[in-house]
Amino acid sequence: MTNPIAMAGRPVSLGERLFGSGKVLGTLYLACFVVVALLVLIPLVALVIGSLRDAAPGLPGSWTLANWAGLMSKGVIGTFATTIGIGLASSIASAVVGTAIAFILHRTDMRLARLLAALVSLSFFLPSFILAMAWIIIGSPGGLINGLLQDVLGIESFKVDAYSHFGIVFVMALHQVPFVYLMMRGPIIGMDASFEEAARAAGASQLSVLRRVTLPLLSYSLTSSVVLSFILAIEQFAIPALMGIPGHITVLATQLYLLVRFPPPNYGLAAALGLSLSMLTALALWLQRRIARKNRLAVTTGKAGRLAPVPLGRWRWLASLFCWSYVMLALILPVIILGYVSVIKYFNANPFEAAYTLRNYLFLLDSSATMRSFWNTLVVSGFGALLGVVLATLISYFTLRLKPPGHTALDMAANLPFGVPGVVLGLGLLWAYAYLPVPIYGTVTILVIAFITRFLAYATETIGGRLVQIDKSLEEAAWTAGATRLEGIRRVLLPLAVPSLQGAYFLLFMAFFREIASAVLLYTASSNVLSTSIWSSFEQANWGLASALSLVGMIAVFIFMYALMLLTRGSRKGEKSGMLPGV
Amino acid sequence: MGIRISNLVKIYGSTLIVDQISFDVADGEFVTLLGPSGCGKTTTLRCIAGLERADGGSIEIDGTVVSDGSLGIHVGTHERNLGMVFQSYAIWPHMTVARNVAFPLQVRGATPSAAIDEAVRWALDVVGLGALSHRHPSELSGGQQQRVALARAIVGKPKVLLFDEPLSNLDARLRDRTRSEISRIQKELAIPAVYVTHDQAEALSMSDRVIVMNGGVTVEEGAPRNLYQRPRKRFTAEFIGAANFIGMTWDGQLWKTADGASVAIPGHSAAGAGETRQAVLRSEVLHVEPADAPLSAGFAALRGTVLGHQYMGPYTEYSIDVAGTAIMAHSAAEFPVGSPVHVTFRPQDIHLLPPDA
Repeated sequence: MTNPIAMAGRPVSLGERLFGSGKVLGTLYLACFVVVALLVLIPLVALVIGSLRDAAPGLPGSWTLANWAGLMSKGVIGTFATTIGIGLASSIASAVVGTAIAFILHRTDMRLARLLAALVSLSFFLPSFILAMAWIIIGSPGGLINGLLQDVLGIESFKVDAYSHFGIVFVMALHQVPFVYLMMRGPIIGMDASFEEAARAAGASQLSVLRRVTLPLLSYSLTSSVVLSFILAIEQFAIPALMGIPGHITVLATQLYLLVRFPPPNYGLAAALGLSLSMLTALALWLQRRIARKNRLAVTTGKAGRLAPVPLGRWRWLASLFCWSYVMLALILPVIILGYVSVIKYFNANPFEAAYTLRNYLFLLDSSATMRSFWNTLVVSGFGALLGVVLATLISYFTLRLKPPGHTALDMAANLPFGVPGVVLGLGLLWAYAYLPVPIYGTVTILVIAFITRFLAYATETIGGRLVQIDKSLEEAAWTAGATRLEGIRRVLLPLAVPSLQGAYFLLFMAFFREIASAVLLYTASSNVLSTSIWSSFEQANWGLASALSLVGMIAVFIFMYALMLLTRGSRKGEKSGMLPGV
Repeated sequence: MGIRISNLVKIYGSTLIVDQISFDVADGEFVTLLGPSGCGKTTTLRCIAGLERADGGSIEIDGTVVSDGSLGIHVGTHERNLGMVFQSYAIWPHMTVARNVAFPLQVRGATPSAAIDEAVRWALDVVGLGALSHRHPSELSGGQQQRVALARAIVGKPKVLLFDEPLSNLDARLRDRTRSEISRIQKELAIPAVYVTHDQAEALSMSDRVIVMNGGVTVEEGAPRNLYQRPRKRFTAEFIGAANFIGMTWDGQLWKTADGASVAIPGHSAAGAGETRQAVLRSEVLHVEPADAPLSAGFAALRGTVLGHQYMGPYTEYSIDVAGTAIMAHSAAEFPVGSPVHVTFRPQDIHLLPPDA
């Protein structure tokens, strides 16, 4: 220890200056950056180029602005209006119903509230195209209600038609209610009791507390979830495709699909349409972020005081009817209908006269195509979600913890696809891989790429939300105890983040399983997954097979997820709450 | 060998957080960085730990340069051989008490596992938590978590112990107990320690030496008793304890207040005539007497008027106008507002700040 400088170890390399952490993390960061850039930029650049070309992807053509000019046509403007109209109607309806359900279940003395909460959350996982199929079976001109009216009751004068604006809005609202419910539940449960107690103390009645304190306090969250569900509505593909195309009601997402899928295809106009739809969602998303940011300043919750439940009194029957009707319409009835249709030979509205059969289920077992789609689903959802979680974990760590140069760009790139509707992303990939010399078109690989790109932001949000909760000093304590950055990650950060990794995996798995919008332009017979198999069976008017596949698929997924939960439960043992040390 | 910090500089954006701080900590010495929030004390500590990269100056731990701005040296935190106790304790919630404490030995990999067990037992015994080694942190009270953090910091026999406001999350009673516990353990192990706090009681009671910081620079340093009784800077006198300041002017023979009362101040008579200095009078050395009462032998007195009072239980706190300055004094007796009083004190309890204070 005679020469202090000689003892001091080496000077700092550029890599260390960048990453403060040696080669491994630096390399990972670069890899992560490149992967995200490729995932996001390839389809977007392809769309931009495609919207400026006058020929189909891969064919020689010249540059043009005609596609963008084509957006000004009367038909396209009409489609814009329909999209926004349906989006507004269904998002407002779902916001009202979803908030009411959240309020009834979590702030009143409603009976069986826990069971109802579980059922509403469960309906969140019912894929939109399965819900739409069930409601088509129920409400289409040749469907259940009309069959019952005519054949059983003999009424000819009154008919329902699911292939209508009302039908689309109705099913979309049903589909989005759980989303609003899950978004509003937190703010409603977490609201600081003292706000309401102060109002009561100031002499306000229960009703005026609700009107003058509770709802205004929730207004930011409410606006924010209306905007988000508006985004989901305008980028929704399956419901308007299944219910709108037969009734000649087109929204942007379905018009894009029709332009590409049916001859003569017009890829250029489709690309321009897709980009403008993306701009619409991006605008709404920007609005939502602004509202959410203001909200954080306005009401600081988190200190969840015990709120006394509001007594329902003589309105109990109405509240019960309301909540149970929703669960009935959105979950139980559709599942029962699918079950019924899957075991009858020919469609018959009267279950007492129907001819029953198990042939749909037997066909599932026999058909190598369905078996392959099950296997593909397992690969795409099971393995793809794993890749997605790994990527999202790296992104979250880099953007929230290490913050090397360029991390804001990485964050932006990872969040960009959130504003790109599924069909549009599918089109971008279709176009890109028609050009690129990478032979993945028509394989499950392109589906994995599409799904990871589309849902990456969901996973980074889940994992990042947890990472910011883990006090920075927990990692610093590991370093001062002699751990390197990597050891700190492995032994402190990752074990603490495990629940969020599982949550993100669960979320991605379900999202991949029920995704149809970005797959519909990319799947082929050999890369069929469950969602696309159900889709094509239904398109071929094979309601029975589509129903059987839906039920078997959903049951299989729930068993898989449940098994996974049981398997991983052990790893969480011992870890209690108290993520914020010393609090 | 201790720690040597020379001209340490840390800049955030365009703000100078630490501006050329220098100090040494001798082997076994307990040094406290004391100052208001934002004074740069925590940043200084984090630079010693290597959690922040210093922008200038050098840090030497046990004879080894671990950071040198001009030479571009920055030894990683994990290679500095530290023990650190965080304000949040930073006990890892997914590990038991024993595994938390064993971590520094395990991660360095040089200790056989039997020796690790023994070291963990030793460290937990030192902090009095031997019985709780299989508990999870969530099952511990705040004070117990604090002790786990301390055990984890000392288990590897580090070259230096760092404390970042470790007691600020404890309630008052527990804080007093843990305070003496920490100094006892540090003295026993004779490891040099740097302790950061904004609490004067912690600084005075635990430290061998206190470094008062403000605005990124050292205001003054010294032994606790000296800093309290003979501060050289007005900031020190104000920040540590409740101080009254009275302007005093030297008339060639005596120090006089603004209203002409003269006071003998031992050891402070060498200034030139007409020079004005600030005298420090701690509230707790002052007595309040009726103006007509005879003066006790050996006490100096200043005439004043009661401006207001607050009953505090053991005493009443009086605000008294003395020569145009409001000063605070404690007394068990009762005086109504407006009554004339004498504020009395022993001559050795008045302290004159240097001219550059």
